[in-house]
Amino acid sequence: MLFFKRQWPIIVAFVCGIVMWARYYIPTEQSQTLQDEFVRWARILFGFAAMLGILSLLHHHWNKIKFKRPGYGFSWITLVAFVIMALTGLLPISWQWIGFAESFRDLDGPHMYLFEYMFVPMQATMFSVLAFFIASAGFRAFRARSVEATALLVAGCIIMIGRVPVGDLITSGWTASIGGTDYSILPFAQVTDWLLNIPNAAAQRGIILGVILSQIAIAVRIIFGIERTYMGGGD
Amino acid sequence: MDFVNTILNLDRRVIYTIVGLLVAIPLIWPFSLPVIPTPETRGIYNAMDALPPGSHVMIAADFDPASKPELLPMLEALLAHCFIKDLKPHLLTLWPSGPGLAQQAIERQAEKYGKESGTDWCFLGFRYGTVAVILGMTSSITDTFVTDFYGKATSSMPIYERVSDIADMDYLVDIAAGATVEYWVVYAAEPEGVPMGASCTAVSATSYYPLLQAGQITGLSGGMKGTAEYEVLLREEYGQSFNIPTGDATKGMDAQSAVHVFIVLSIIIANICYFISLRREREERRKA
Repeated sequence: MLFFKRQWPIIVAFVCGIVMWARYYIPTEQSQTLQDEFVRWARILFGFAAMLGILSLLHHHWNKIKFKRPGYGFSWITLVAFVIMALTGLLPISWQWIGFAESFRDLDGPHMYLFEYMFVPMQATMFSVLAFFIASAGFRAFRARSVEATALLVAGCIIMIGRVPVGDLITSGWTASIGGTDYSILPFAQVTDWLLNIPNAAAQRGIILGVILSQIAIAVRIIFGIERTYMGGGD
Repeated sequence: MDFVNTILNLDRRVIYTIVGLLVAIPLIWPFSLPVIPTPETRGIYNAMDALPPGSHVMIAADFDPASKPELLPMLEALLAHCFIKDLKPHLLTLWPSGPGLAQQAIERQAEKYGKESGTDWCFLGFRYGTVAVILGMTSSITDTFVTDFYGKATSSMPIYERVSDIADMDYLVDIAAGATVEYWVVYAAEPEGVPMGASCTAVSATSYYPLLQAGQITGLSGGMKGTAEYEVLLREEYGQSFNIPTGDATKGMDAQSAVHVFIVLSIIIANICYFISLRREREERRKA
């Protein structure tokens, strides 16, 4: 049994990794068919992973309710909400008897009703609260304490103004004529473009290259069985 | 307490109230600031506008309700552009909470422009697997999405008579709240040679400038501002003939401008007060 827990996943990862890597350099129909098959398996596995996630969520909240752990009332809400959303989305029955559309897939159906009037406002509220926190945090913590912090502060302020219409208004509205040509006194839009296209793009390119090189390194480690954290902890 | 200390110890609820008012007032009484389209957004618009009627466009709505104000108007504008130009959009999402918003958008726009599902457009819905789904569609769209969102077999749809995989698409757009733009570029647009545009939230827009400069995406629409620019371009060209109202993103620009100006001013004022208080502290220490 230990073989299937420890050695077998490493063998599967090694064979799949090497086959898929080699396949990339073999442009034949058989090679493409092999990739299609692997991708189909991957999609099936993703489906099972989603089911596992759902079971894990239900198990976690059920245990919380069972042992009356702090905040178990919220677990009740999670479970009830889960059951209602799942039933209204999965059951292919008519909901006309309570005033909804005939099909559960219709925009006027119960699932979409709950999505539109419960899920959307709640998630939008959570996200929009960020605007208030950012405003407060910027006011309290964004200080020009060092050269780096000052550069970040100046760049941040320029981009915040340059990326909204008021920046365009200032750029085009306040101009000075030098030698017959109009120059903007506060060229927020141009400076924003420069910041995004030159320093930002250079830094992002470096980050992307770094991330991709790390991904290659991790892939090689997984293929050769050096990286084993994907197998989970314990025995 | 003097002005400097009052500012430095300002109750956060005062800031919250000001931000709340600055969002609400321009939405109730808009002052219609002009939106000037940037070359990045024009990159998507021009690519879409140059497509001949009957071209197929794949649109991935990879976002959830948290990004609705920034990205849903972009989806609506893109779909309106498709239907105005007689393009055939293939809409899908790689996010589990994406289908609801995507369904609303495509049904609203299809009804407005009198387009038929399965012939003029197709809503493929959601499939688990992100990269596996994209890779699957590079071989066959109808095998990856055997049925559309409404449960109809995709293989029998007239829209898939000429189209079999992503390589048959004439343009790709990813409207993303996460990192899916990179997946679409790496696994679909680049290997299949399909031009692609990207629309994303404002916070992630900076990540995609290298892709834009390398020509891996033809255009980039960042946040609500990018969406407002697309709406303005669409209205300028087709607004009168197709009776296109002012878009939601354009309406939101006044509120966003007001809040950005407030945050910048508050940061500047807070920093001035901070340096005054530092100087005072130093003077007091010297005296002591």
